[in-house]
Amino acid sequence: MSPFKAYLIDKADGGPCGRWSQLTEDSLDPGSVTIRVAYSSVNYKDALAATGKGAIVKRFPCVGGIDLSGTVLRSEDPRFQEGDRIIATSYDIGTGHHGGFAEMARLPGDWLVPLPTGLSLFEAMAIGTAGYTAALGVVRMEENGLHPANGRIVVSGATGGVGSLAIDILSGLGYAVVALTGKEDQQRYLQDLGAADIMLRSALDLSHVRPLERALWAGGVDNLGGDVLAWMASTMKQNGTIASVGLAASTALNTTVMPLILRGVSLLGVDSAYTAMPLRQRVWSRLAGDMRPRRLASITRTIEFDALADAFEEFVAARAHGRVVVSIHPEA
Amino acid sequence: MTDFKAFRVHTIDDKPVCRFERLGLDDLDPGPVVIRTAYSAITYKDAMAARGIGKNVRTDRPCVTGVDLSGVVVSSEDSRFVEGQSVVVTNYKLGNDHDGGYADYARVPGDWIVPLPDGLSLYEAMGLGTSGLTAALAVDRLERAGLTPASGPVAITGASGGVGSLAVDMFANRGYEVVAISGKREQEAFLKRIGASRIMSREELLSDRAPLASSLFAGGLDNVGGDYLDRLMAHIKPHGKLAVAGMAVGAEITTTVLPLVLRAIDVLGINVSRQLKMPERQRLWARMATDLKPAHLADISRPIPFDDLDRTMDRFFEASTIGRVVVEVGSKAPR
Repeated sequence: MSPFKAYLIDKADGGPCGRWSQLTEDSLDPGSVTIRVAYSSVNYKDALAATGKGAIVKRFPCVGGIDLSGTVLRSEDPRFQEGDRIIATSYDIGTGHHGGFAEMARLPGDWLVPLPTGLSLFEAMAIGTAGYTAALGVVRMEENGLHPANGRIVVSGATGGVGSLAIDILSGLGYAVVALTGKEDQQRYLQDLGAADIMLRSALDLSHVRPLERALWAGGVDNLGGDVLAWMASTMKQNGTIASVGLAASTALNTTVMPLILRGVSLLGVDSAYTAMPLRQRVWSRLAGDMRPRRLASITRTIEFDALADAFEEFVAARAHGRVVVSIHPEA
Repeated sequence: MTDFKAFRVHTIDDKPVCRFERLGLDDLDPGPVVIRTAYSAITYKDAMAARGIGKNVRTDRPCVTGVDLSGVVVSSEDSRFVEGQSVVVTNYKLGNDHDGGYADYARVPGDWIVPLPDGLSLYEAMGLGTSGLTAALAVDRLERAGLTPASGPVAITGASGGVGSLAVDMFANRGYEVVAISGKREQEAFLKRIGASRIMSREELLSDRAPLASSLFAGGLDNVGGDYLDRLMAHIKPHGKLAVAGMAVGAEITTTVLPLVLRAIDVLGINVSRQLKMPERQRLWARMATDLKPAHLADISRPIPFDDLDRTMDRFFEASTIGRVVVEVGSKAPR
């Protein structure tokens, strides 16, 4: 059994911290399917986990990486066979079960999504948990009645992974998307993704938001929480729908029931971690079809496995934008 | 036509003055369909308008209040309605900026009118009214979002009020385990009789202050806002759904996004104002006459004589009113 390279998050004196390690297959967590990892990705959650900035890892030591794509080496699960290409994101991957920052992974078959036709293993990781979350939010908003004819959609945290992919996916579906960002220098990037308009955070006075402000949006994707989410609720049109996908700014939500009871606004919580598998597969097949991102090349940057630790620092310092794919065993 | 009885709210020196008066048809706001009112109801909005709380009624000239009415068409210039037809009108401007249900007659636009569906009497229609429509829309939206009786218990705040008690009945009737949240211990027998499996006190709901409190409910309907809404959100199970229909306690919510982001709960606003499209309105009325028809409507609604209207309003603020109060406007209307 030959050793392979893995990025292990362990407990140190100053809190959790990552280090390179050589593992062997028998040190992987139990699972019915063994996978040769092709790509992983870096999400904000990965950066919080690896740097110990967030209490993400539930068991130490744990190979990080909440996302992976790869090829089945061996399977005791009849649903998967050697050579099958798969995607695995969320569940306990990279937080309580050895994850994607390794050359090899062993996972329960119930966590695996067969790679849908129309996506490469690389594209699957360019999308990753961030893109899956964005797509799940859009699917849920559409199930709640959202349609391009209803009006404009606002996306907060627009330059992040979820925000970038939400803009790309929504504009591809025909929605007019307004990107809300604090990063003045990223306006060109956001336009390239398909944003019809850019709104700067500095132009909003979030300290004086009335219960019902002028109705602007048919829908909203919020990555921030706090004042921005409260503002979004107050500026929704009749029957507007907000997908609440993140809390990058704040866990607080101080608002009023007025948008709910007078404008029929819906707040949909979106959690990518424990989506039921039929919905998960449906979202991935739409990501390979009508919701396929069109600007993955602009959104995504690829790094070598060895450069992983540098990427974490960029995420924590909020310097990163878009998606970072980690190349482990790249496909030809 | 001779003159008839009406209850109007006048604004005199910025204060509401309520009067029973004799009016003629031409004193009413115009509309192509003339209805002889059989029943109206008292909603919280009506009580607020009569007592000058909030801005629920026009102040530039008197208004016949009563946001709900059922009755029979007397004459119609709208080809969709014919003389003798039984109809229901709720919401739009009725009773706040267009003379409403507290008069023997009303004149309204045809676009506001729902033909009384088979399976409901004019009396039952007012046992439901705006409150029933709100409860029905909540059930409808929660189930469309995926809620089923197998998902788990459903919590209802303000359970002894009009919307709350009708919702308790509707959910229980569909097989849900209903937890009625009520500050009124003395209402326990009533709530159990109309279908509640369990009564939870205000203190019990509010005791666990954690942003993610114990997962208790698969679904919920909040009629009161404030702390109750915050705690309901915190107690909803992963992927659970909460409908929000009212703000009897307070409009402000101080809560967190954690139930949304970590438990993927949905918070669905319920709004039956003029924004609820007529086809939806008709569909919900048809459901209230059939599969959503409350099993204990006679228990939940209580008739009062038209003459008792004014003195009954005050009970809404003492929170001693339970269920729906139906106002007998037209005499000898069939139950």
